[in-house]
Amino acid sequence: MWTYILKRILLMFPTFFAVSLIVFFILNFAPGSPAAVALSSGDGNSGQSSQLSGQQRESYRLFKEQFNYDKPILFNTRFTLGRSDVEPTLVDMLASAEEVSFARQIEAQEDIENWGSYAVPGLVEVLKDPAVATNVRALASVRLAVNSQRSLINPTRRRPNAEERALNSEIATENSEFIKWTFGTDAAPERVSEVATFWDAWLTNNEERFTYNKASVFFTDTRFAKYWSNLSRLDFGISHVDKRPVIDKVWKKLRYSVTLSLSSVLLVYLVSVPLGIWSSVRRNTLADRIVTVALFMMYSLPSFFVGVFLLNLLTRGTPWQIFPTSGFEALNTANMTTLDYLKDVIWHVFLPICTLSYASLAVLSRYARTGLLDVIRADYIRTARAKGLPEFVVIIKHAARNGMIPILTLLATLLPAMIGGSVVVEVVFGIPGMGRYMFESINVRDYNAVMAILLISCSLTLVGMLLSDISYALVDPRISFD
Amino acid sequence: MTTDNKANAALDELERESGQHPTVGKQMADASADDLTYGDIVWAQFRKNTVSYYSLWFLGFLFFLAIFAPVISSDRPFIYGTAEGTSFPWFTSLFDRNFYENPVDVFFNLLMVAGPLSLCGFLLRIRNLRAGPLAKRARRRTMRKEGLLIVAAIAVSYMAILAMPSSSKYVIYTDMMDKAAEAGETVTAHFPLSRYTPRMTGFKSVDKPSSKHILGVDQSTRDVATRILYGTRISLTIGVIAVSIYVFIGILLGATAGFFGGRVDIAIQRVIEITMSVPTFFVILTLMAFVEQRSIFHIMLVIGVVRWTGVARLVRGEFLRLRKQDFVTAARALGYPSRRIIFEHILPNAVGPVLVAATFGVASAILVESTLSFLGLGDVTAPSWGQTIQEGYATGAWHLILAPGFAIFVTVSALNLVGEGLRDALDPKLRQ
Amino acid sequence: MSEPEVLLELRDLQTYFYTDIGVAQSVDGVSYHLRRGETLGVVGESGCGKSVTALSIMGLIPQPPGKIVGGSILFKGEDLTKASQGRMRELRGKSVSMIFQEPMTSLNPVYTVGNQIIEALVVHEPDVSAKDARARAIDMLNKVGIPSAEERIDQYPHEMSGGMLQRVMIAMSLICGPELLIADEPTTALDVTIQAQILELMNGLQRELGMSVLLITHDLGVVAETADQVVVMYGGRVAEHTDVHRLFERPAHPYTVALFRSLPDLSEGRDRLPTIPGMVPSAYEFPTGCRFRDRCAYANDRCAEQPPLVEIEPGHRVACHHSERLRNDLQHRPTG
Repeated sequence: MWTYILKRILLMFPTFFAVSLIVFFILNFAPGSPAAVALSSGDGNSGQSSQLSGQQRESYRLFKEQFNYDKPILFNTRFTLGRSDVEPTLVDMLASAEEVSFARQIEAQEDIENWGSYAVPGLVEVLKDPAVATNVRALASVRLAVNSQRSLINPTRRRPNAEERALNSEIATENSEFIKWTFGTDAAPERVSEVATFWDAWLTNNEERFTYNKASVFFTDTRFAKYWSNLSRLDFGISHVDKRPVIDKVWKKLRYSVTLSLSSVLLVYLVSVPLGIWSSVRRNTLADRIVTVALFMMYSLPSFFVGVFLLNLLTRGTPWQIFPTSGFEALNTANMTTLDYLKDVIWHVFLPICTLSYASLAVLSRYARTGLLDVIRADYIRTARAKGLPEFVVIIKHAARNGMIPILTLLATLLPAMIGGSVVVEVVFGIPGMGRYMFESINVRDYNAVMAILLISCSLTLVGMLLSDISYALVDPRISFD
Repeated sequence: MTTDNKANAALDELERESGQHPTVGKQMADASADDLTYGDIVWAQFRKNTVSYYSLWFLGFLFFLAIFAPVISSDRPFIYGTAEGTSFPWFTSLFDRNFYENPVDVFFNLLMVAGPLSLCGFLLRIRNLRAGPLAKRARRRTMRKEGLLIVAAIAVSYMAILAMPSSSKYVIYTDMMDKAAEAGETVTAHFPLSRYTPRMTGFKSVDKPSSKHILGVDQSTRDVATRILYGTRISLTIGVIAVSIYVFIGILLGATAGFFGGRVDIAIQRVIEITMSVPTFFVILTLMAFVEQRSIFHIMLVIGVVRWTGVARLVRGEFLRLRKQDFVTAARALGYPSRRIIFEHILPNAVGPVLVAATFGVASAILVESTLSFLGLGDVTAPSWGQTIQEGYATGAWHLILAPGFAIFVTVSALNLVGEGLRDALDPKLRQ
Repeated sequence: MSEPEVLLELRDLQTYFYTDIGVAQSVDGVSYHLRRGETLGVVGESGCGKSVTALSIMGLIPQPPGKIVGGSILFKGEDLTKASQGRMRELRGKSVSMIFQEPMTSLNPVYTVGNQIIEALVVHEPDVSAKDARARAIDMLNKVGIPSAEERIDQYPHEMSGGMLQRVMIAMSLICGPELLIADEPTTALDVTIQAQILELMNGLQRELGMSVLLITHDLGVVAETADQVVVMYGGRVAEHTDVHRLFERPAHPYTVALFRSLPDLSEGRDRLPTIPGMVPSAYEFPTGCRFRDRCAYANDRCAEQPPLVEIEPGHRVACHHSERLRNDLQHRPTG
């Protein structure tokens, strides 16, 4: 059996990898790309990038760098960039509106920004060549000052250590030097050649920074590779809303959602199994029929309706006010004893749990009932009775155990349904859990958060499926693991 | 004569008399010559279940409401007569781009026009066919052929209408009437039962139900009853089309996996597992959020793309089971190509459980769509039931919560009952 | 020689089933008896009511559709039809045990074989210690001829073959030492060779434990091998009841004769296998009077009246108006 469990766990990884692949592609190739959205919403302007001021441009560039939006998605061929690519780009950026389309200008701007240090050799060549127009060379120098900068070492979740700090101060000094070595369109020729010489010398001195291991760059300096390397370190990136690591926020909210979901699953099983047994033993009596109809009606109601209905009925004073209108716990929980805290939480989550579980309850009770009805007709039940066993032993020990087996497989589908359903329940009842965070992140286009939540819920689902299979195999000895 | 010989003699005589082997049962002797197909048997069983049968009628009624909604409630009068002459605004604005609120409306208006016409056509045609032992077959064949023609005609007209430019300006007839009354002109107008449309605004916000608005007014000052009525169009369309999409995908993939087995099967199973390992609702939310201008077509597409796994598994299971049966071996022995075996031999047998799953799927799709609208991720221009409930949540007004909730409940219940009836009708063990 | 006491006596037992499509008179006036240490074989075609009789004795008729509407079942003088549920539970497994036709599905698949055998013991002897119970269970498994009983006792039903499972069933039903074992077609689902082993086992155990066996079967060969007395049932009623030798040599009911005739006899060459014309009537539509009359070569108007079960000679009871004539015909049949 352990080999089976091991195999299943190992199988989870490729599935998880595939899901992360799909999530990555959806989030990068879908319309409404984060970068464009960030331009329009994150920076508060309506996206005419050429009209951004210098400072806004800079913060936009940093934003792209941080989220790896400046890198190519899958494969990086920028080590081939040379003068032939850089020069037309610069020319287009400076061209007037009649010569070059606006879209192309934006594209050129983005290109030169995104190319970063890969463009430096090409830029230097443009700068050195006296045949090139001065304004182009001026732009080249400006770009060089920016593109040659190295970014500071800034690990996501810890402070830089001493070595890194020393390196950072070096980098900072160097970066600030670069600004001096630029010139404008109206510069004197001596200035131009001075700057050109500087850059040329600098490039020769720093040759090794611009020689690349082509294969490594091709595969690893890409958005995809960075995504994966981050993922393996459980680094889900930073939320662009508040610039804090996403994983921290999700982790905090996870406990609310898990509490809700697990309590719901427990409640569902605790109620539906006895209900199913009772219902099958008393089948076709009036009580059974009423229960069946009631369960059926429950199954036909959407969960948000039930939530809103209960909320309106029981919390807003129209007509009753028994439960709190929202939240997972009261505000001043620090001073409560554990028992009080427990009571407070239960008082808060009673309605949400009901809303989350009623649909699954209806389904599972019916499965329990039909499962048991099938089992009761079996031969071994007749044998059990023929042995002289009391009826309740026959039902509980022999029938129920067999009848509940199919319900355990439902656990695999129950958990993802709970996780998905938690969105509505948490939104309606104001519980700060993962579902509501998902909804909020979607609305503000916080893609890192969305990705993180999708991947985490995927893992939870896979774990749930594994648990379901294991429990099924534990209960039914006929299942062998090969 | 010994008893042995006596018994033998008796046997022989019996056989000579009756002309049959005497042990042949009575049932076989008077087996009826009904031309029953599998569908007929299932339908007969379904009818015996009264609850499901009436639910099916109720669903028909809902479709009727959806199709004929403008007859019940519209702001254009059927007949409008002024001193200058009479016009028929209701009829002329049926397919006018300025007047319809949603491409779905065009479709249903088309059905409103085409439905009764084709029904009359059918009945006339059927009456012309001779009755007889094979009458049913002939009838079915013509129905199938001509039904396809009608469906094609509807599809073509639908696209033509969508492409048509508008012919007249948008006019509010009640305003015109008021102005004419002020000016002292006489105007005759015959309106439908209710003069509201789903988008008509200007009433008292969150007004309680009254004689003027039988279900009250919502937060955006629109009449709730009309929205619920037109909401049937949205819900039923989304349900049926989303399910059609994913049933199509599911059958395609499930049949391929189940029929060919081996590596194809393993690959498709992996795809199914991967798709199922993320909670589907999250995926639906994410995909809906990406779309800039959300319309109900996006909703249908998203639901279709995400929920096909259930059907695929079902179909795969059925195919795996049926593939081993003798009729498949026989078909192969006759040299039939795989495609023929799949579509004409195995698939008709596998269709039963798929139909049941599809019925439940429509119910579930309606629930998903209303949840999306509730969360604000649906189509804002469509009169969806979920949207009204969201307003109820925000304002606390009971009529905004209960009325659409009841509508959803009743529709989904009917669908679930039909689905259960169908499931029982297909179960050979329950046959009576 | 005094005959052993009567252990079980059925008097005019009637068990009907009330369903949506009508009333099935599955057992309609059955009377027979069984003595201590005796094996009584009950034969008949499917649907004649032999299994329903057995289930009635055990009190296992499902009560909503089924009901014992008349007659009595006397076990050691006690009328079981009037016994309470609790009393029946006491008797089941301890004084009267039953084994069934399909061993593969008659045991609960999620519990070990040992668990189920010990359960049968502990229910009736709650003071038995766990160790003793297990020891007795292993002992019983050995007795029924299961090899390596110590390992087998912890196996699950799906790990054993049909023949072995039937042995387990026998062990389970005999562990409390009942006085009467009802075996409902115990070998029908098994291979012929296993069949012989099981029958031999049952014979041996019966002699060893001094118990009575009510063996229900449709197979005349099984009856010939194992039964002391035989009851032939048809249409919910007893047709003939006598000891096994007399049944085979001098049957007195047309149905019994027809049954024997339908057994293929390789010594006689014949073109067509004789069958009994017609079909077994459905329990919902039994004809009035003698139930066999529609298929009987001897039937006449007198058969509209149900023939009573009369003792035509000591220890030989028949329910037929024409048994005399039949016996005369049989006595004078040509030999060879």
